[in-house]
Amino acid sequence: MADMVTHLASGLLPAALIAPRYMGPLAIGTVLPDATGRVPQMAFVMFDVPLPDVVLWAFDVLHQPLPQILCASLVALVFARSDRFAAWLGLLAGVALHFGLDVLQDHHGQGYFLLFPVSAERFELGWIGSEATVHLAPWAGAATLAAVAWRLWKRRKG
Amino acid sequence: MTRAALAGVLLVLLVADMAAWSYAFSTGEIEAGRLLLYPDRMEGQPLVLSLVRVESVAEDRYVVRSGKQHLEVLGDPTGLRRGDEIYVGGVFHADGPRVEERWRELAPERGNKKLLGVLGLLAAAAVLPFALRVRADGLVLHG
Repeated sequence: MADMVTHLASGLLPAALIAPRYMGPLAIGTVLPDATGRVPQMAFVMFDVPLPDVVLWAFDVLHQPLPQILCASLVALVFARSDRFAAWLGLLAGVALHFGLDVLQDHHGQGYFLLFPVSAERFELGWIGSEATVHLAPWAGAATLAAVAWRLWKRRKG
Repeated sequence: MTRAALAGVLLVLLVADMAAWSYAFSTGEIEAGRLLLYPDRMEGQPLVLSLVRVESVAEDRYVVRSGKQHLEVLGDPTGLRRGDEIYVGGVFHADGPRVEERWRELAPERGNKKLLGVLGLLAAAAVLPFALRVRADGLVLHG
């Protein structure tokens, strides 16, 4: 996975500039795969929660496209009917951006199960290192912060 | 279809997908499952351990941890410290289990990446009050 700040910026920056209505769903969508599929697993390991490996690995499935479409659809149900479809599209766009960024990375062939349960093949393009975005993150984060601040200022003014 | 019924259908599909994954893991279709549950099937196979944590270092070997599984790696540990996260390429042997290292690569930015993970989650949460409104029938978009 790329770092979470870059993931967030990949959706929030363009949303703040050109599609402010979608800022919320894109913010959620871009972090959703890691928030559901990686963070719990890492936290369990970090805090030595006594779970068997088989249970820990089960979280991996949530960092895959099909379960994320289902998760995004579940999150969309929290939205009012009038905005649900737009929110769902924004959430899916965020999830797509997340996997688009992740798949660029190189994990020495240990890529992502993009087609599970249809196929257990792993995919990655290997164009950038798995930590390459760490150096980009401060700039992407600052640009996003500026864009969101500008959007909020514009909203208050107008 | 009501919101609750739709949520129920989505949850059933999600659980079904998790069950399919657990099945693939437990039958060894997924390499991590093979490594954990059927090490004999991996005997002599080349493998890559991705972003495993160095747990201890000895003279001509070191131990890495993937999830909660510990693996001994036979290779020169020069330059490795406990807590480092690395990629290891090598050949698997079921006795031990152990891996004969062919190559390895340090992932020195993993700590920063995890820190950015926390920051990213906090930033996403901080944006939501400005981007969404709560209404009686659910959240609405606020552009």
